[in-house]
Amino acid sequence: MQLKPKMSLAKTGLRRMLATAASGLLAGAHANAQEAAADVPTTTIDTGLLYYHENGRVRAIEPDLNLTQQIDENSILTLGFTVDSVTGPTPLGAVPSTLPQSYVRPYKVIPLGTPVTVTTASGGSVVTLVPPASGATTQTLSATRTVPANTYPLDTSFKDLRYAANAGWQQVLGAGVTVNGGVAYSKEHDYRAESVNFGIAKDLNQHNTTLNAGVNYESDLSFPIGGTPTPLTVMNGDWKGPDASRSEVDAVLGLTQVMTRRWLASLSYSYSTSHGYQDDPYKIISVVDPVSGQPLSQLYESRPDIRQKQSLYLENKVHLSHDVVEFDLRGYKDDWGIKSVTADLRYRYMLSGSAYLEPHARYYQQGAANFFDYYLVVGQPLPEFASADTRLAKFHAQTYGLKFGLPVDEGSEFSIRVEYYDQHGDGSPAFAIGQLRQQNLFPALTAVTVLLGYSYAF
Amino acid sequence: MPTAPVLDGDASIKGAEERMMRKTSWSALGIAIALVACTSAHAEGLDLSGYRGKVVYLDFWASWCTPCRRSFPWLDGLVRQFGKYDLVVIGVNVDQSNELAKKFLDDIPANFPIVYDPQGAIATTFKIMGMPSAVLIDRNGQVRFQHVGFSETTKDEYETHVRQLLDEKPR
Amino acid sequence: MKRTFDNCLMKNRVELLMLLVLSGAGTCLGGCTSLGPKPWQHDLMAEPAMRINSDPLQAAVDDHIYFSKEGSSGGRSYAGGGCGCN
Repeated sequence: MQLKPKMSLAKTGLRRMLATAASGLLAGAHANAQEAAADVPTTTIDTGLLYYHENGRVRAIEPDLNLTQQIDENSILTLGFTVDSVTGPTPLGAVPSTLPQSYVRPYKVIPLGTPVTVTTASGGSVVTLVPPASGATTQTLSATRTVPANTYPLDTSFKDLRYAANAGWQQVLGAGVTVNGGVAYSKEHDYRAESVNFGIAKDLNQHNTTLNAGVNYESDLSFPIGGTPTPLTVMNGDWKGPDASRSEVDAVLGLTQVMTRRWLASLSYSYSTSHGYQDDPYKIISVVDPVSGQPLSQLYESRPDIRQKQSLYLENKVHLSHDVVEFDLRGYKDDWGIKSVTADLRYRYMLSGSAYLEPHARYYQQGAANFFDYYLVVGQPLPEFASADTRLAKFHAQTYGLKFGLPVDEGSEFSIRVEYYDQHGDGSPAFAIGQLRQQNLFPALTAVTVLLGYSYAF
Repeated sequence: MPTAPVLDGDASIKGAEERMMRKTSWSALGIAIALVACTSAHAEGLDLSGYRGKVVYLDFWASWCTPCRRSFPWLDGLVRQFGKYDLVVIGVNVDQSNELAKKFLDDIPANFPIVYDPQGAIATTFKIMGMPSAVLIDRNGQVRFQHVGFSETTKDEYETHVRQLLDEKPR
Repeated sequence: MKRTFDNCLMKNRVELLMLLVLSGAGTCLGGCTSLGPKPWQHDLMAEPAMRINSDPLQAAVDDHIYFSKEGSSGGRSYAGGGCGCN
C-alpha cells in the first residue's frame, strides 16, 4: 500500500495551512494540545463504606477514603483516612458451664471518697467498688457480669472507635526504578499504632519482570481499659499494670512476571518479627476441675514476647477473551506454631458496557498455636504460655462473595460487594472432660460484610 | 547546536516538491514489508521508499498507552514546525483492534498518517523495546535513533535528534 | 498420629506448598529473561482489572477483617504488571 498520495495531499494542505497560519490557528492548536494532554486523569478519589456483622456478635461500620494524586510525571501522592466503629460481644476465652459464671473487669479509677451512683455498666454488668488498699487516694470501679448456664461466654462491653490515617509517596527515579515511602497512624480507645514504610521496585526484561523489596516498621502501645494484667494471674477487679508496648519489623521481597499477554503472576515472600506485648489484655483462660470439668478460676492469658512470621504469596491474574480470573495462594507459618494455607478465587464476568459481576470464593485453613488450649486443668503444671483465643486455634473458614461493579460516568465507578464468612473449629474435642463434653467449646463464627464503593477519577 | 535549515522562500519549497516526485528505491534495511490485509485498507504494509530524502519519524503507539496521550500533541507540533523542512511523521498503531485505535483518535486527533500493525510485524522488524517507541530515519533511509518512552524530560532530546537529522543533506 | 508418608505429607502441607512454589520461581529466574510478551502486546496488562493491586481499598478492608479473625496476616507486595509504558 502506498502512503504517498495521501501524504502529499496532507502535505499540500499543511503547506497551505502554514502559509496562512496566523497566530490564531496556532493558538487554537496549542490549546487543543493542552486539552488532549489533560485527558489523562491525575486525581482519583476512592471511597468505601463497610458494614460488618457477625451473627450474634460484633458489628462494625467503617467509612474509608483514599486519595491518589499525580503530582508530576514521576511522582504520586496517596492519602488515606478511615474511621472504624466496632461494637458488640466478643468471646472472652472462658469455657461455658452448666452453672452460671461471673466475670469481673476493672473499668474506672476514681478519687477516694467520690460518691458513686451504682448504675448498670454497659452489657448488663453490675458495678462494684473494689476496696482500696490502705493509704490509697483512689479506688477502682469494676464491672461484674454473669453469664447464664450453658451459654458461650462473651464480653458484651466491647465498644470502640478507631481513627486511622496514612500518607504515601511514590517516585520514579529512572532506569526502571521506582521508590516509595509512607507513614501510617491508627488510634483507638485502648491502642495506638504508628508505622513507617519504604520500598523499591525495578523493572527488567522490557517491563515484563519487576523485582521489589519493602520494609515496614511499626510501634504500638496498648493501654487497655483496666490496665495491663499480669499474665496467668487470677482474674479480679483490681486495676492492672501500666501501658505496654510492642514493635514490629516486616520485610517483603516480590517478583512479578508478565508470563504471557494474558497471564500475570506475582510471588512474594515476607518475613516479620515483633517484640513486646503480644497478649490480648481482655482474654482469659479457664482452669477447670479434672473430673467435673467445671471452671474453678479464670486466668489472664499469656503469649510469648516474640513472634516471627513468614509467608509465601502467589497471585495469578488471567485475562480471558472478556473476563478476568484471579487465583491466589498463600502459605504461612510462624514460631508460635501456627501454619495456614489460603486459596482465593475470583472471576470477573464482564457484562455490557464495562459493568461486571464478580463471584468470589476463599478457603482458609489454620493449625493451632503451640500454646493454644481450650482450657487448663487444675493439678497440671502451669504452662509458660497459654491462650484460649479461638483465633489461635485450629479451624477452617470459607468466604463466598459477589461483587457488582458499574461505571457511572467517564472515570467513575460504583460497586457493591456482599460476602459471607463462615469459620468452623472443633467445638467438641475428644479430650474434653466432665461437663465440657456437652458444651460447644468453639461455636462457629459467621459474618456478613457489605462493602459499598465509589471511585472517581478526573 | 543544530538548527533546522532555513529555507529562503518559494524556490526551496519547489525544490522539495521535486525531490518528493523523484521515486527512489530503498536500500539495505529492507523496510518494504507486505502484510496480509486486516480489517482496513491501512493495515497492508509499510513502504517508506517514497520518503527517501526526507526524515521519517516513525512513532509506535497504542490506545492503551498513557504516555501516547501526551506524545500526540507533541508529534502534531513536530509536523507543524518541521513538516515544511521535510519531516514526515507516521503513526504505527499496534492495537489488537482498529476500533480501539479509532476511539483514541476521536479523542486525540493526529495530523499525521496512521498505519495499522495489529500483528506487530512492523514493530518486530524495528525491534521495538518499549511503548511508546519511535524510530528516526534519516534522509538516506538509515535508522539513526530509537526513542523508547515519552516524557517531559525526553521530548526535548527527541526534538534535538529531529533537528540534527533535518540539518543533514542527503547523500 | 501414626508416622506414615501420608501423615507426613499432611503435617507438612505448608512447607511442601512453599517448596513447590519456590522451585517454580527459581527455575523461572534462571531462564525468564525472554519470558513474556513483546512491549506492544501489553494491551490487556494495561487494563485496570489486570493491575496487581486493582482495588487497594477493598484489599485493605479484607486484610483488616481477616487479621482480626484469623491467626495469619498479610504477605502481599504490590509492584509490577501494567502497560509497561515509560
